[in-house]
Amino acid sequence: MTSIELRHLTTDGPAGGRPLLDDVNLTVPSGSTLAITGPAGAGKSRLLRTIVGIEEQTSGDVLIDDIVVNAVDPRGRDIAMVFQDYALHPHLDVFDNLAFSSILRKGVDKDALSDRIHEVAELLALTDLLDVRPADLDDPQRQRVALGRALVRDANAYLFDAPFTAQSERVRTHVRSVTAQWQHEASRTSVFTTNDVEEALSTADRVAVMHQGFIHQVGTPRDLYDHPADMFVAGFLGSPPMNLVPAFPTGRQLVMPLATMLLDDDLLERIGERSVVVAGIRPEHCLDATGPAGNGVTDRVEFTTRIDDIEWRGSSQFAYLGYDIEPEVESVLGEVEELLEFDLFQSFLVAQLPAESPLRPGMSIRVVVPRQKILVFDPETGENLTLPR
Amino acid sequence: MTPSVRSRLWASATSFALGFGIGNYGVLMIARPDQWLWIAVAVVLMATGAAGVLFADTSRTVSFWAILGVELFTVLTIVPLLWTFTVATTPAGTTPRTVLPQDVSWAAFDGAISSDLLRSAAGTSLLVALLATLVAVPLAVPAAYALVRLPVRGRRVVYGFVVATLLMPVLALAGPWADQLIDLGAYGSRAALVVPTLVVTLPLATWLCVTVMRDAPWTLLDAVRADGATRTQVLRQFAVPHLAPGVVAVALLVFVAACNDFALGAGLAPDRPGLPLPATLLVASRELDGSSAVAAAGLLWLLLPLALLLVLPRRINHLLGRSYR
Repeated sequence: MTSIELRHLTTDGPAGGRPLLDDVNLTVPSGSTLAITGPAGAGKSRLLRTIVGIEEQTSGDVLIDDIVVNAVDPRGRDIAMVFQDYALHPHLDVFDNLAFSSILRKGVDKDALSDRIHEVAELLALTDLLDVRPADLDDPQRQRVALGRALVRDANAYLFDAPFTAQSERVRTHVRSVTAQWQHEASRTSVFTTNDVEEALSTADRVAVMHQGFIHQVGTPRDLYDHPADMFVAGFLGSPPMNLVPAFPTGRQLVMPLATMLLDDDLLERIGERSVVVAGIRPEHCLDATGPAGNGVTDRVEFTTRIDDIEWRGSSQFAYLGYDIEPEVESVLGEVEELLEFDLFQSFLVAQLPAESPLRPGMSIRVVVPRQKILVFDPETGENLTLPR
Repeated sequence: MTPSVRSRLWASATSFALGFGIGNYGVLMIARPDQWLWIAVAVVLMATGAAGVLFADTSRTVSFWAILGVELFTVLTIVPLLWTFTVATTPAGTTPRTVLPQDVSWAAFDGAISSDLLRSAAGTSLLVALLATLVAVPLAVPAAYALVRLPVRGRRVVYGFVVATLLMPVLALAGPWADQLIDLGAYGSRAALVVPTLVVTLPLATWLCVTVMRDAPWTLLDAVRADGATRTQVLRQFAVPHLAPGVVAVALLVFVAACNDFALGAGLAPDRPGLPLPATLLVASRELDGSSAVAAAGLLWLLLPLALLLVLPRRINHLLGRSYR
């Protein structure tokens, strides 16, 4: 198959505004799947449109199989793309829509194409709809037709712009698995965008976190989740997202709103002269000290607080533990959020606890967090100070 | 949004009062057979008022102000048309006294069709309108594309200028154009009307094409390009199915509008050979066989837009209804 590489890809925004793509560097090795995730307006769709060749970059290079294709038109790049709003031909039925991109090229074996269309239609539960026009389909069906149009085509690489959003929770898993199976069977190179963090982490070989046109981090899902490069990645990945709380280094201690943690020499050195940092704690790392998981933690940070609210989710429950912060610290955090245009900080800490724990609002709870699971970030640059250099 | 009970009651009261007034006036002041027309209008308005009271306190989303508006619009449109029909079908030598036709005679229609003057004028109108449309539409399509799709500076100003040109009194240009045409020695000729008619057709075509372009599914163009379509394929697979029907409807509308231009024709072609039909109906009406012939010719000319509305009703409504944006 085909590899895709982006080198310093930049697209200027409106005059005086932020770039739409900001020095994007990405490599998608041949046969692999890359998920680009980020909040709405991050530039994910623009990136795909630039790769396929329907948008031009201001500077930087797009390489397909190590060849710069900046001057090559979409036909020459031969990349299939699924559009977020499906882009189906209203005057064609589902069969013709599925066949459309394939018949644009000469020398197509029509019998083989027909077989392929029926095969894909079967996979995507579209067999009974082949004679139907898009206007008579519902949104999930239209999205599956758009997806099918790409799957039918034999292209160099495949780009999917939010390809599963319209599917119901139950069908989405099936469609995702069909697409993943199709990718793996011929080691197809593909890139897909999604706002759904869990979808990105579960479906792709590698994940890129994008925001404000900038790629914050690229890596394997586990690497990104366990070792986020910066505060944005840490706050964006995970559901519920990582708790980010202001913390104050005091001697060898890091004082957080609800707890105090001892700093080791390495971290102390990295924090340096900073008077305030941001501590990151994942909700699933907040353990009930009275439960078996909490008891087993040796190197621990422990605190006792009152539960403000409980959200029971069936397989687990979320305990909301409120805290107060100084107005001046709140204003610093507000500035960070304003800069990132993203809500990172809350005035409560979320703990994800076992569903069977007898918790209720107002009761007191003793929480244990493994010390090595607490991440520390520079509030100004967002850099993860706990990562080894 | 469901209209309020109070609003419906007001609409009902207005409709009933209007119907009551019209009915009484018709009974007391109007002679038969027109009296039946007045009574019919009164009955419809009063029935609307009664229905308004009955439906006032229901969850139906019907607006009785809208119904009243449609009824008045229908009356004000149908009655003049009926009067024109009555005048056109009145036998020669008699003067129509009632709105409803009495003795129907089709002689005026035969006369209008066989009149050399009217046939020549109709030919002028059709020729001038056709040429002005053929020039305007190919210019309007790229202009509208640029106004809608390209990030061109000042496109709002240009669009405003297009709309302002549409609102401009065309007659104001007749004088300067006449001077130019006299200098060029083309004053009074058929061909000389084509360029001035562009003042009507070009902004109208651009204005309507902007609606066509705004409604085009541009993501589909991106998808077709991403699929690897060549220029010809883009034209065949995107432009023909998604833009061409709208552009054809625009061309027909512009053609009809140009056919009905009166001001430029009357101002720039005072001589008979170059006078288009709408201007002929007024300027040269004395040469025709009475008012019946003029009315008959007018009704025949009306068949043109009527045919257009019957062939493409939805598209025409869509174009005209959404061009305000």
